[in-house]
Parts: sequence; structure tokens; C-alpha cells
Amino acid sequence: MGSVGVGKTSLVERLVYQRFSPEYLSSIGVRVDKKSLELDDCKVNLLIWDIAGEFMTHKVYQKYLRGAAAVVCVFDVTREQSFLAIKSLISEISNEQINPIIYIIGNKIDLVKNKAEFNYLFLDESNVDMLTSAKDGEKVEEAFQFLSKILASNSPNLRRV
Amino acid sequence: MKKNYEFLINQDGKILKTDAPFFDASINENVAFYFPMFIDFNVTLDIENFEMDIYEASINGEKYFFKLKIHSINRNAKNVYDFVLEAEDLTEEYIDKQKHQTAYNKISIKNEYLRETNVKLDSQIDYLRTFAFVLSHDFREPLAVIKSFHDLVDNALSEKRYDDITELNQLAKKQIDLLDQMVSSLLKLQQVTSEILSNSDSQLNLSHLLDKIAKDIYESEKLQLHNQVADDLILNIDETHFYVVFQNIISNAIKYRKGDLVDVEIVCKQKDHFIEIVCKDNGVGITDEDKRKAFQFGHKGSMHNQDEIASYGIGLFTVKNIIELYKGQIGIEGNKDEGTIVTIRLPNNLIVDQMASEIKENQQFMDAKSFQNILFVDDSETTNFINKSIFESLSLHCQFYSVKNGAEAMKYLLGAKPYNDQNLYPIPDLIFLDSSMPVMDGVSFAEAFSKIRDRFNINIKIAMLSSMPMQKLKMDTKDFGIDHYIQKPLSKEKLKQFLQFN
Ligand SMILES: Nc1nc2c(ncn2[C@@H]2O[C@H](COP(=O)(O)OP(=O)(O)OP(=O)(O)O)[C@@H](O)[C@H]2O)c(=O)[nH]1
Ligand SMILES: [Mg+2]
Repeated sequence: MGSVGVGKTSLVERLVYQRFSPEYLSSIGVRVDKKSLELDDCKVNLLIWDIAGEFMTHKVYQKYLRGAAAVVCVFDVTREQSFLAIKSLISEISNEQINPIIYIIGNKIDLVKNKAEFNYLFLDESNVDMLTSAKDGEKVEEAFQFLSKILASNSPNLRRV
Repeated sequence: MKKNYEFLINQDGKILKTDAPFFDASINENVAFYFPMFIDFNVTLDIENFEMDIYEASINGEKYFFKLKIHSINRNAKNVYDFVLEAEDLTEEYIDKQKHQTAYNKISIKNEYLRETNVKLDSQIDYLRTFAFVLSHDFREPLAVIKSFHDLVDNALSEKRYDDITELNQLAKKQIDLLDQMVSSLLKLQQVTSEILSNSDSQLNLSHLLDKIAKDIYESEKLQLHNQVADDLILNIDETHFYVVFQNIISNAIKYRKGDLVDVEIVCKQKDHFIEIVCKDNGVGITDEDKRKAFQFGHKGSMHNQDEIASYGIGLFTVKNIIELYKGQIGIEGNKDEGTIVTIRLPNNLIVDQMASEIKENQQFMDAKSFQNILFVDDSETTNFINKSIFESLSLHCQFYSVKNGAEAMKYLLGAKPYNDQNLYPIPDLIFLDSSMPVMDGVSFAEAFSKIRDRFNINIKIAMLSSMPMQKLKMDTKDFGIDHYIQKPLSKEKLKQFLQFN
């Protein structure tokens, strides 16, 4: 989840299909993709629900939170507003009677790397799990690997392979 | 053409029957093949209440939008259920909607960036307004005091009370010092707010800088600095900038002290994405109001000791400007009576990789050897002398020549008398040009020189120095082929930087 245009769909495209399109086409509903990740001692099958950023403004997303093992909150490191949006999303999630794992990704890190143009220090480091670039593929697989590890270690009916 | 499809699905997710044209039993019979969210159909919770308003599917490479709904039907008496998945095909309608939504989102994202810029502009305007106000107020006060001292001195003179005069003089001097300090802080502020941070290569050992400031500081006998910054941390930052930053922070600790002894602890931590420098003191702390306004221009903290030198609300504003110049952040925390904590965050790409930089440094000085003859053009002998010493301090073996204005420099270059002996006055390969001089200033010289530049068979570089704001100078000389601009005064760091670029 995350504001419009932060790169949710792009992250999934990168992770699942190893591709990237600079063209923006906003999602208007929900898309679901699968991805299997091999960890050291187990395999995790992820079912990734890519939810339109547009839903953030209408709170339509709430019903998709039920049954989610984790919520990947994505923001754009060049847009402070998108970071504030996931902050309030997170506080809403914790108000609900569910508690999925919250995993925070700052995307589009390629735009700020080695450049002093953007001020991306608005992010509170202690809260951000991974900084990624769907464009370059940087840390995308790692992000989901890492999340899978957390999921696997939290999973009660873990099937070891 | 029918747009609503139905799938009859058994407990295992196998599609028993459907009217969907894209279904092909020979490829795959499982519902998860077409709708991956049903990958574990038999364990998917709450399947009976499953409902989805807009689902974007990609089936056999085609994009569809569906509204999905599931209900169950009892197959036989043994309570075995089958499920019916209804898929309302909304593709046609939503392909258009998606285009509109994209256009709308793009605009709202642009707006987000614009709003940010606006906020910045607003604060700039605010700053200018306050600037004028604070300045007129702050300058008037000491001036008024000096004026009244002046009258008192007159009186004392006529009444021959000479002892009083000495005392009055000392008091007046205090006020003058205050004015002087204000002017210097304003100059500093002007420097950092107008300076565009070039790809500076100045390297600074933060820990050493802190020790130096502690030593320099007025009233240093009251200060105990616990410098916890790693001794080998080198940052790509300008010494003057960060001298100002920490001098202000430490002076504030003294200004807002509680007892007689001021304790300041400075810790520097390297995080994943930034460096965090935390300065903690044992002073009177800070009120919530002051916290909010601490970095505003002209804001004076409410709790400082009255007997101290007056504060004039420029210090922390300047500090914030410097930190932001480096794309960093600064914050202030603390409670009344519990000391104040100033936290600075800097992007960690400012950390210098020692090995790499040593190689680069050597390279840089090898290159610098290519300058042989350097001509200083400045009306101040002292400046010429200092600049020369700075060159020499980098052990650059060049010959130095100096003239005192643009007209003389022109004569020198053209070999006019008294510069007609090429052996005594060789054509320089570098000219260090001051912007303001009598007779012919730097700008006029640059203009005149640009017209004769290609007469020379060596490439003559021009570096222009100025104590005025650089933007205007750059505008005035933009057509004259100036190779580099340096804010006066020249320093070792600035020279290094210059040599690196040329
Ligand atoms: N430079 C750069 N651009 C990116 C990156 N990730 C996504 N983008 C671009 O950002 C735009 C939006 O990306 P999407 O993936 O469609 O964003 P989204 O979060 O799915 O947006 P919604 O579906 O509207 O919620 C596209 O133009 C992408 O090409 C990245 O890592 N770096
Ligand atoms: Mg999307």
C-alpha cells in the first residue's frame, strides 16, 4: 500500500517479472501476483496484492487488510507527503483489531543517490526497512526476501524443506 | 457479447463449469490459474463472503477488470459445498477510467511538489520581512546607547571629569563590539545563504574542529566539552561552515547555562542513511515556544542569563541554513531545566573514504604543478601576500607576480612599460583577480581581457575573488570567460577546491 505513484506496481513488476516501465499507468483496483522465494531453510510463497494508491484516500483499502500476513507500506523518497501518508496508514492499521507485520519500503532511491538535490532525510531511519529502486532493481528482491524471513519466523505452521 | 461470467468451483479450486471464453481446461482447470488469489482455494478463509469491486486480471496476456463475488451452493446431503464465482467484466469502462485516473494522479503528484516549493518560498519571504525588522531594531539600540555616551563624554569633558570619560569609553566600546559582532554574523549569514555549494572537496576532521572551537571560545574556562566524535571521521564539509555551526551551538550552551560549569557532550553516530550528531548540554533547557521558534531569524531565546552579551537571533538561523545547504536536518529538544539537545543529521555521502581520497589528493597536486606563473591583481598588498602564502602552504612551486589594479594588469599582459621585460614579467597562466579595485576594477578588466584573450598562445585561466555576493558578480561577468569564482577571503580549502577543478 502507499500513495499514488510511489511505485507499488513497479516494485511488483520488478520482483515478479524482472521488468520496469518508466510510463505511469495508475492502478485503479487490486491486482494479485504470486512470487516464490527460497530462503535458507524454507520456501515462501507470497501472494502480493497490489492495491491502488487511489484507495488510500477513500479508506476502501481496509477490507484488504483482513487476512493479510504483512502490509508492505511503500513511499517515494522524493515525496515527503507519501511518507506522511504511510505514517497515518500505519496508525490506522494499529487501531484495527488486526496486526499484520508492517514492512516499510522507501522507493525511487535511484533519484536521490549521489545527488544532493533531494532531501530524503525526512524519513525516520529507525522505521524504514528498505530503500529500493524498482527502476534499477536495487534491493527489491532483498526487500521481499527479508520480509519473507520475518514471515517465515512468525509462521506457526511452517513447513521446513 | 456476454459480459458476466460464472465459474462453478469445487472445494479444491477446480473449475467444473464456466461460460468464460478465456477458460481452457486443457491448459489449466484450477481457478488460481486465472485468479491467483485463490491459490489455496480450500484454505482461503472466508471464501463465502469474498467480494472485490475492481480486480485487475491479466489472463493469457490480456488485461481485464472484473467485479468478483463468491457464494456457495450445497451439493448434496453430506454438506459438501461447491462455489459459484461471479465475474462481472468491467474492462471496457475501466480502461478509460484508468487513463483518466492516471492523468489525475499525475497532476496531484505535481501539486505535491509545487506545494513543497511554495512552503519554501513563503518561509523565504517571511525571513526577508523579519530580517528588515530585526535589523533596524537591533542596530538602533546600541547606536542609541553610543549616542548617549557621546553626550555624556561631552559633558564630562567640559567639566573635566576625566576618570568618567575612561569609564564611558569602555562602556561605549562594549556597544561597538556588539555592533561589530552583529555585522560579522550577518556577513557569515550572507555567505552561507548566497553560496551555492559546489562539489566541494574540502575534508574536515570533525573531532579536531570541535577541539579547536572549544579552545577558541570566549569564556572557554567555563566549558567542559566531551568530544565523543571518532578521531578518524573525515567529512566532506567546509571548515568555516561547520565552525560557525558548532561555535553557535556551544556558545548557546554557555549562554543558556544553569550553573557555573557548562557541560557539552557531542556524539556522532553513523546510521544507515545518515550521520547523526547529537549535542547535549546541562543548561537551563528550552521552552516549547523556543523549540518551535529556535531556528527562526531574529528569535531570541527567552531563558538566557541577562548579564550575558545580548543575543540577536541570527546564530541558529545561520546554523540551520548551513545544515540545509548540505541537505541535512537540524532539530532541538529538551525540557525546562533538563538541558538542551541539538540533533544534526547529514547525508552519509559526506563521509570521506580515506583511501580513495588520499590517492585523489596526490593526483590533484600533481596536476596543480601545471601552473607556473601566477599573477595576483588586488589593490591590497596584504591580500596579495596572504594569497601567495596560501599557495606556498600547499607547497606549490609557482612564481608569483602582483599588480594593484586592472589597468596595471592590462599593461603587464600587453608588455607595456614597466612590464616590458618578459623575463622579469612572464605571461601568467593563472590570474587571481579581485573584483573591486580603484582605477580599473575586476569586472572591467575581465571584459577588456576577454577581447584580447586569444592573442596569447598559452591558456590563461582567470579566478575571480570577491567579498560581494557571488550571484551578481557572476551575472556581470558571465560573458567574459571567468574560469572560477572564489568568495573572499581565500583559504587553503578553497584553493584546494579550485585546483581540483582546474
Ligand atoms: N526513477 C524511478 N521511478 C520509478 C521507480 N518506481 C516507479 N517509478 C515510476 O513511478 C511511476 C509510478 O509507478 P507505479 O508503480 O505505477 O506507482 P504505483 O504506486 O503503483 O501508483 P498507483 O497505482 O497509482 O497507486 C511510474 O512512472 C514508474 O515508472 C523507481 O524506483 N525509480
Ligand atoms: Mg499501481
